[in-house]
Amino acid sequence: MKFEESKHEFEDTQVELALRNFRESVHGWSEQEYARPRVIKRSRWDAIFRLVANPVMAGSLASALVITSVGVPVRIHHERQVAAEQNAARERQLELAKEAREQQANAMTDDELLSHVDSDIAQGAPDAMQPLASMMTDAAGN
Amino acid sequence: MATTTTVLESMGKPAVAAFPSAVASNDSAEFADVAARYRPQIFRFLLASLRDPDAAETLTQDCLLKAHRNWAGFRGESSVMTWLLRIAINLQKDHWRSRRLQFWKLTNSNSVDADDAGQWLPSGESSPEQQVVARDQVRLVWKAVKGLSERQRTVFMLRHVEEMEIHEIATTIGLSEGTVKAHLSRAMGRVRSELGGKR
Repeated sequence: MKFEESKHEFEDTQVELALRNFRESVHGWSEQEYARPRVIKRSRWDAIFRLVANPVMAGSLASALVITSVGVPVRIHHERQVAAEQNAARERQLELAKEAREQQANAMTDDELLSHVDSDIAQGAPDAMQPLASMMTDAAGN
Repeated sequence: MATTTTVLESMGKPAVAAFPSAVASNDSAEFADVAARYRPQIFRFLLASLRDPDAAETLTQDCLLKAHRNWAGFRGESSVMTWLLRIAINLQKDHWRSRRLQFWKLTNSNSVDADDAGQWLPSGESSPEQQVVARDQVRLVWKAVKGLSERQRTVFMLRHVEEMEIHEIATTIGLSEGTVKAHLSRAMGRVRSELGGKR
């Protein structure tokens, strides 16, 4: 029992001594480091955090974000709309040109058809119309 | 009217960054005295906790800056040192959090290894043999500290480096005295184990 107690006492003394050495070591190290001149360095994250924490910069960043997130899609939409309108106008012009060409082609066909019809019309009058035809002939002769 | 820059300069350190401020000259003068008195202790606590002199210096500046900004609101319910250490502990927590709580697992260029930290010994009149023993003890304590949780380490540093009483530690950290004792007991168990004790 006495041996255990004395052993514990020895251990406690050793621990106390170690803790005292540790304390003095930290104090000495701290004094040495404290006296050393140094420039404060800040991390990138700290710089970013400070930038964001600044109300003016935060406002500017928020505005830029809103402009980017709203302005860019609106601009893209507008550009697409303009392109679609230009395409539609181009197609309309093509269609009009096509219609004009077709009408011209159709017009040629009508002329041909009329001449064909004229050639096909019988020059002789039917029997029932003979009196009228003779009157017309007489009137033309006079 | 004194500015924060002049306050920091009065602490014995050059103010690298200029901070805008507009506080009453009386408050600034009073705070300059407080800062000059407690700055070394805050630096020491942060250095022991972080093992990084640059980080300790930066956080000490941040701590005093925060304290300066809130100096008018300090009502003296606790001691100035307790209040300053509380700010320092919160900054230290943020620092660790920002490094994903991996500080003690990482060794970057600024942090000092536990073995190196143990090289600083008081210049006593002890013999070379005693110095070797002391150096080994300090190294083992650092090794034990390295394995402690953040809270255990803080309690251990406040008790055995800053020599604060249990109730002071409890007030500073915002825990009950019983919880502080429990953390301290676990920390001491690890230190004893590292030093070769059975208890």
